[in-house]
Amino acid sequence: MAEIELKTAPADFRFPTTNQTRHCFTRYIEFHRCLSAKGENSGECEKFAKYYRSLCPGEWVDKWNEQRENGTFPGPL
Amino acid sequence: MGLLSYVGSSFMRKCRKGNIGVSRFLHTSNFERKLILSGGTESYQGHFSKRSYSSLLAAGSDCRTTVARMRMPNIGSGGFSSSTYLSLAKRNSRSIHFDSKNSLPTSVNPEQIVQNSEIHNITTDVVKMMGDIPRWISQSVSTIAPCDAPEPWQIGFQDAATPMMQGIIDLHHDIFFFLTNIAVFVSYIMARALWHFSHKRNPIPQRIVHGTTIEIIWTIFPSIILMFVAIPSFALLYSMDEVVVDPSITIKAIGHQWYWSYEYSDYNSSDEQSLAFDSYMIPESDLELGQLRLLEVDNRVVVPAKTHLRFIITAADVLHSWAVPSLGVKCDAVPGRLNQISTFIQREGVYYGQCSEICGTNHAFMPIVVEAVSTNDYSSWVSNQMQ
Repeated sequence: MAEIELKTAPADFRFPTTNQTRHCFTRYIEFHRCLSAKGENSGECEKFAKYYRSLCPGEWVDKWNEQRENGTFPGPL
Repeated sequence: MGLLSYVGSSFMRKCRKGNIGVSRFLHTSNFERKLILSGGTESYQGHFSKRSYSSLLAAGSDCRTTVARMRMPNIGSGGFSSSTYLSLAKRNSRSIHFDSKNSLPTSVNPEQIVQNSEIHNITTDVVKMMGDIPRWISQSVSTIAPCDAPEPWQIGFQDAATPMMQGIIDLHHDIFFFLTNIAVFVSYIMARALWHFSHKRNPIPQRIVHGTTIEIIWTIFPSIILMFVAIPSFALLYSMDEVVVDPSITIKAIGHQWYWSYEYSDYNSSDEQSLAFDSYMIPESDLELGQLRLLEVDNRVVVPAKTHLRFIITAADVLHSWAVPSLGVKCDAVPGRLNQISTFIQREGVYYGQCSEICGTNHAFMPIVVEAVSTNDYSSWVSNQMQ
C-alpha cells in the first residue's frame, strides 16, 4: 500500500473567488514561461506543472498543448 | 415521524402492487425473483456476494462499505414496512450479524479485514437495536443510521456531514422559529379581522385612522426581528468565505451529457491523466438488493474524510450542477469555467446527490455519489486505481 502524498495546488490569494478559471490558466502560463526561462530539464518548473495539472481539466491542457504546437495559443507565453 | 410513517405506510400499502410510488423505489430484479421462487428461503448473503463497487476499494476494506450498504433496507423503512418484500428483506438482513466474519463468505479472509471501529460500532449498534425492539416499534421509530440520501416522504434536510451543511441547518432552525411566530401572528390577526367583519356581529365599525404608538411599535418590532434573522445569516455567509487552510486534494468533476467524470490529477507525473473515470448511473434493471433507484453509480467519488478538499466543477457541453445535499454543496458546472468548492467531510459514509441544472433528456439520470473513507483506505484506493 503505497503512501500517497496528500498535497495539491495551494489556495492562491490572487484568485480568492469561486471562479478559478484564471488560476488554472495562469499556472499553465507560468509553467511554460518557467520552461522558456530556465530550460526544459531543470526541475524547478515541476512545481508549476503539478499545480496546473491539479487545477485544469485534461481536455483543456490537451487543447492548449495543441495550440502551442500550432502557434495559436492565445496567452502570453 | 412515527405518525407520518404510519400514514405513509397505509398509503403505500395501496401502491405496493403497482408501478407507482414506493413499489418502484423497492424495485429489484434477480434477488426478488429468487426469493419468491425459493419460498422465502433464498439466502441474502449468498446472493449479495457480488458488489458492483468492489473494484473501488482494496480487498481489506470491502467489508466496511458492504456493511454500510447492507444497512440500506433498514433505513427509512418506517414508511413502507408493510410491504411484504421489504419485511422479508428486513428479517433476512436482521438475522445476519453485520461484522467482518460472515458478511463476505467467499471473497476475503477474515484476517485480511481491518475493522474500522467507528463504522463497525455504528452498524453493530443498529443491528442490536433492531433485533431487540419489537418490529412494530422499529417501524415507527427512526433508525440511528444517518440519512445521506433522499427518503420517501422526507420533509426535512438530510443529515449534515460538513460544517457548512450543519451551519445551513442551524440557520434554517433560527429563521424558522421567527417565521413560525410571524405566520401564526399574522394568521390570527387576519382570522380575527375576517370573523369580526360581519354586519350582525359588529354593526358599528371603528373609525380609527391614527395611532402613533402602535405605528412606531409595528415598525420597530419587525426591524428587530429582521436583525435576529440577519445576524446568523451573515455569520454563516462570511464564515464560509474564509478559506484559511490549503486543501490537501483537488478533485475535478466534469459534467457531460449525461454522466459525470472525475479527475484526480494530483498524482500525475505528466500531462496524461493518471486517475480519471466516468461515473454513470446504474440503470434500474441492474440494481441489486438495497441499492437506491436513480441514485447509484458504477464508480463513486472516493475521498478521505476529515481532510480539506477542493472540488473544481466544470462542464464539457451544457450547464450542469454538482449537488450533494448532505455535504451542503451545490455548484453550477459551466462550460469554459472552473468553479471551486472547498469542503471538509466530518464523517465517513456514502453521500448521494443529483444533477441540479437542466441539461437535456437524461438530466434526472446522472447522480453523484461521494464515498468518504479513512485516509489509509483512500491511499490504497488511489494506488489500486493507478496501477
